[in-house]
Parts: sequence; C-alpha cells; structure tokens
Amino acid sequence: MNRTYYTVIGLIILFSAGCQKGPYPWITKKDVQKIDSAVHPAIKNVAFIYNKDVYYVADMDKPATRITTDGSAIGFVKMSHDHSKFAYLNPANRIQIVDNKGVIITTLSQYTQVKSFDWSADDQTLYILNGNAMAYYGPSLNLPAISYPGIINGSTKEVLSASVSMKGDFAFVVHGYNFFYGDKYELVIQPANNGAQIVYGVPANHSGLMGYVSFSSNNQDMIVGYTETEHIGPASQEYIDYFTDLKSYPDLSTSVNTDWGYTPLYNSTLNYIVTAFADPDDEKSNLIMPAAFYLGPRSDYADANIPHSKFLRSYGVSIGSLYTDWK
Amino acid sequence: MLNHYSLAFNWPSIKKLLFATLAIVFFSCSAVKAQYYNNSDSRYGISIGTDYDKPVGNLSYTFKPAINYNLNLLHHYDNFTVSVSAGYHAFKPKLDTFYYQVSDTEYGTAHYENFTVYSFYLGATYDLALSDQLKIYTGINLGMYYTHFALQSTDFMIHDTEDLHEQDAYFAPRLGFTYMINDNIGIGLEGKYNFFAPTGQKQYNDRVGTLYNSYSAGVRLMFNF
Repeated sequence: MNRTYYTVIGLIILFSAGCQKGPYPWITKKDVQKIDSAVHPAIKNVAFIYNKDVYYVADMDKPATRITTDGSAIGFVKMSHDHSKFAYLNPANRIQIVDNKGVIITTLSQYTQVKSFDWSADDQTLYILNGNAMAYYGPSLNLPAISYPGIINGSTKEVLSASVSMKGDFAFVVHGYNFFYGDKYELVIQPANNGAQIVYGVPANHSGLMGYVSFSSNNQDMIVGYTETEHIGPASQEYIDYFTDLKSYPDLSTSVNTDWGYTPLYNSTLNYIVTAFADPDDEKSNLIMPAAFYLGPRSDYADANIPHSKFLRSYGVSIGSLYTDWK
Repeated sequence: MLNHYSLAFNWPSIKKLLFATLAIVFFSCSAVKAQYYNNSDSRYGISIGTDYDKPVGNLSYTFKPAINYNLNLLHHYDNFTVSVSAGYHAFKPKLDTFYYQVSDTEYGTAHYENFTVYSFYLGATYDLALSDQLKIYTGINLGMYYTHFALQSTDFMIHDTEDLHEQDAYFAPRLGFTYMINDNIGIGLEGKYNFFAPTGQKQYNDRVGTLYNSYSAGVRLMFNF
C-alpha cells in the first residue's frame, strides 16, 4: 500500500513539475513592427524642388510624386498642411501656387521682394515676408508689427526671414547695420498669447550671420540658421540652432560648419531635421539630396536598432542646393 | 532547484534508477523465458505504432507537435508485458523566424531547425484483461532519447549558433488498451506522458538540468507469435 501511495505521489510531483512553464520567450511580428515603428518613425509629407520641379513624398521610405513638370520652380517650396497646394518661386522670383496635380492656381506677381513665405495653420492664407513687411494671400493674419529690438537707432534695418507657428507665434530675424557698431542680428519672437517678447542675439563667439528662421508644423519647434558669409538672397545654412517651446535659448546648437541646406525644418519629437543634406556615408558622390537627418546619439554596436537618416538618393544634386519643406 | 526554465536532475540518481529498471526488465525477461516453456500464456510479439506527440511546457513555445513512429518487441507473461522499443520523431519549429525582445528598442531573431529524436527504451506494463479480446494496461517506459538541436540567434550584441547532439534520459508513464482481432493480431490505443532531460555535465552544456515534456497518443498494430 505504501509503495502505491509513494508511486502516486511521485507521479503527481513529476507531472506537476513537468507541466510548469517559464515565461513565453518570444514576441510577435506585430510587436517587432511596433518596436521598429517607434524606433524608426515614418518621415511623412516632405516636398522639395529638384531640377526646377516640385516633388512631394508622402513617406520618405516610398517613391516621390512629381507635382510640376514645367521646370518653373527655382526656390522656396512651401506646401499647405493638407498637402493640396504648393507655393514656390518661379523664374521671375514671383510666388506661384499650384495644386497637387501641378495645375497653376495663381501667380502672385505683386510681391517683388519675397524673402520667405509659408501657409497659415488653417491653410487659408499664404503669409509672405515681402521686403520688410508682412503680406497675405488670403485672409490677413493678426500678427504684431515688426519691431527691431536691440538695433540701435540710426542703423539701417531689414527683416531677413519670418515664420508663424501653428499656434500663431510670430518669429522673425532682423538685421541692423550701423557705421560705428557694425552688423547686428537678432531673433525676435512674439508669442501668440501676448506674452513677453523674446529676443535672442547672436552669441559673441559665433561667427555665423543669422538669416533664417522657420517654425515646424508640429508644436513650437523652430530652427534659426546662420550663413558663414553675407549673401544676397537665400543661402545654405552653415550653422543652425534648435529651439523648442519658445525658449529664449536654443536646446542645441551645431558648432560644425556644415551645409544644412536652404530651408531646414526640425521636429523635436522625432528628433529629425528635414533638409537637403549630403549622405555622410557616401563620400564618393558627395551629392546633396532631400534628407531626414537623425539628430540622436549613435550606438557603439554596429547592429544596434537605432533610428537612421533617410536620403532620397534619386534626387541628389552635385551643384546648388535643394529647397525642402516638411508638413 | 526549480526555476522558470528548468528542473534540476540528480544525474547519478537517474543513472541508478535507469540501471535498476534495466535490471528488473532483464531479470523479468529471463524469468519469463524460464517459465515460458512451462506456461502457455508466455508469448512474444511485435508491434508498430504511430503517435501524435505534442510538446508541453517550454518546448511547446517553440515546436509544433510531431508524428512519432515506433517499433516494439514484446514479451507477454501472465498479466505483464515487457518491451524493447525504438522510435523516431521530429518536432518542427512553429515559425521560420522567432523574435525575442532584448530591450525597449532592441530585438533579436532566432531560427530553429527540426528537433529530431531517436528513442530507444524499455517498457513494462501491467495488463488487465476485460474480456477474451480486450485488455487495458498501464506501465512505464524508460530509456534514452538521442536528440539533435540546432539554433541560430542574432541580436545587436550576440550572434550565436548552436548545433547539439545530445543524449537525454527518457521516462514515460503510459496507459492504453489492446483489442485482439484474432489470436495473433491486435490493435490498440496508447497514451503517454513523456519526460526527457539532457544528460552530461552542466559545465559543458547549460541545458543539462532542463526537463522537457510532451504527451503522445497513438495507435498500435500488434502481432503475437
């Protein structure tokens, strides 16, 4: 009887031990896709000018769509937030607006000193920095008057670039020249909530010339660009500062003289900048192409699953620069 | 020690148990043979069988059920049957590629080949005749599995390849019944719960101490001489 009893007990123990499972060791392909989509976010809705035509790419991992075919785009492409309208400068330096089939909607021949432009958050208005004043194609935006804080009276004054955030914050770069004090560049930000004006001057040890500002289409991310030497008209940014949340100082400044393209845009959530950029891993061709450049840290491991920069290699150019937009 | 992944074995004890069982089977066969000439109930037989063998426990996470083929030499004596058996089955991996998570942003891939098993074991059952034609039985199997296990896994830190041929101690309680169609030919159904564990020294094989399980159920075709 005892033998039977012990046998049964032994078998019960063996069975229960055998039935024990460790934690499930595998993850599903869906889990992998989740990890990958978090690590490698899609860079969506980029427009650029290549060979004087406007292109749109819904996802930088997919082929681009050619919007215009007449070779009329020579600079500054800005697409509406719904990606249905594209504004750019034509060979006469006038703003031309086409729909997403390339059909011309209008040409704004009245603006002859266009320095920068972009669409309002509701896509109803194209705001334009024309000369030193704001102009509007569509309903006017209720922007504050341009001011020149920090520019000494008696200086020549100009506005070099202007941008309006999705929330209505107004940022612009002003330049003043005084025979005795020389050049002075300031970034001025007027928050939409009538908050205190923010003024950011070029740091004393900075050799670049501030000339470009642009909010991104997400939140209040903003890039301020500097050129190495003074230019007439647009130029490639040699240094850039990254601002977020209307801070009075940049979160990050690039100290290396690099060609960051004409119109870089920054997204702090994704930690990418979209601009025209040369692939650093392709030293042979040295082509500049539309790129989403990852700004985060690298890994010590070659096979680490980290975000990587994306390059539209079919649209590389060896001479000149590409204009880009990212909405 | 019991943890999530393995059940530790006292290998010397297993060897003693295996030896004892072999001895019992050997002596029972000898005793049966000695009495065979004096007892008309003593008969030899042969059976072939096929089982559906389903991994359970940790093995089931990775491998699909397999079809087992087995050949058994039988010796019946009174209410007991002893057997010598050989079998083969191959557990196929459930997926071509498995993924495992290394960190929040990192994952690895693993590729398994078929987990093949050649089995050699002795069996002993107690048979209970329900009628002239039908008997049920219960007993155990004890023997060895010869397994082949191959795996390639890759993640950002590790590129690992394993190709192992192992000997596993094997034990299985079993339960079944046999229906005799005539004096010589019978068919049967049998179920088993299989335990097998890699043998060797832990310092050379970290899978030593792991207990694998499967249950199997199948049919037998038996011919008694």
